[in-house]
Amino acid sequence: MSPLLSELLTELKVDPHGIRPDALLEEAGLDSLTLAELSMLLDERGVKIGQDELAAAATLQDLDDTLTRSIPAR
Amino acid sequence: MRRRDGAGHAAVICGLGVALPDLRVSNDEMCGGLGVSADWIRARTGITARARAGQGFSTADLAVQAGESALASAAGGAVDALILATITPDHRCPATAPAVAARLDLPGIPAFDLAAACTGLLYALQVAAGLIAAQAARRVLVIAADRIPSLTDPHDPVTAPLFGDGAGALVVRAGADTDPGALGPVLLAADGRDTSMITAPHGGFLTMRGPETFQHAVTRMSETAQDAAASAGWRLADVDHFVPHQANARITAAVRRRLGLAESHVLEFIEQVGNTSAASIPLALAHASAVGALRPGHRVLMAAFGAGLTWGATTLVWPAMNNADRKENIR
Repeated sequence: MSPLLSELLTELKVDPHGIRPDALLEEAGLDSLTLAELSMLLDERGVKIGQDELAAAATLQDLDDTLTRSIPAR
Repeated sequence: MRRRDGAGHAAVICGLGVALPDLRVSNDEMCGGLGVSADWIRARTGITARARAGQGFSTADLAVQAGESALASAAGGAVDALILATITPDHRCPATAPAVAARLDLPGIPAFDLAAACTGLLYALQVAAGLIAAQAARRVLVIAADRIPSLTDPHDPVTAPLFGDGAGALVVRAGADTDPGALGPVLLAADGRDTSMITAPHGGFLTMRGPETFQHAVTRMSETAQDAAASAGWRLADVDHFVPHQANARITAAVRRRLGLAESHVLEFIEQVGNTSAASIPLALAHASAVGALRPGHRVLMAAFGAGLTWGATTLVWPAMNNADRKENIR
């Protein structure tokens, strides 16, 4: 897991430790409201990714990949 | 109703009352027709039960009960006007407020409904403050009463588990802006560019786009709360109790994190009653007062967000007042 996603999950009170990369988002405690808040936290860091785009990720690894793809493109 | 007597034209809170139905509907009872589990509802909303008025119980019934309690709490002095904040009036015509005024034995005073959804209480307080500032009234009864469950689709997992029935009322009197209970600047706003985010058409159910509502609620409430505190000359660190509209425990937590407030400084009253729309702030205040958490002299910052979109915030120093509510119901 990237340091950024780990930091964001901690901020969202989702303990990133022990979560498998192939865990489904819901299994990892990331429902649509958490993704909505994640999108807001990213926005505060200058990264624009909508909740819908985040929700398109099936697993935690997919979500991490979405972040990684978006950040260099800023 | 124009009067010109007494000193001070600031709006001062001097009475509080609430109405909360005794019936609670648990998550287990709710989740059958929703396709979700009781745990899902709790994780999604922070709600384990919601207050529900029985069949035949009207918005006016809730409003009258809260109004009576607030008038008893304020003790003494007639009120000159009644404002009922609601989006669930008992009829399309007439407004519910005149009937509430009549049942409260307040015939003849101006009485009207005000529709600003979950921000309704703060809008009504600002209107009351305006009536007082214009010397058109010396005491105003502000009631917020909603029965949002009457609008929800019982099969919609987004809205059906969220809402409860309830009412809250405040008596606002003319006074000095240094009096305990004096409202600070009331900041209000609305943005109707996308009314479909939270909407209930005539004859239809309430629908809500959850994640978008979450984002707007968190952003609007945290920003306007900061602005209201600053307008009152307060730092957030000065606030004893932040009282957000009890929309969803997840929204409250996100707003709290954005404001950098400790959990102990946020009043919550949603788990056992649900989101009671415009009534949620007075219900949270009454609950905190009943359990001894909210005491005279405490600095209170309130913020709300609702359909419209509407939002707002204000401040006050909590005054000493009688509590005429049935305490066992709101603890």
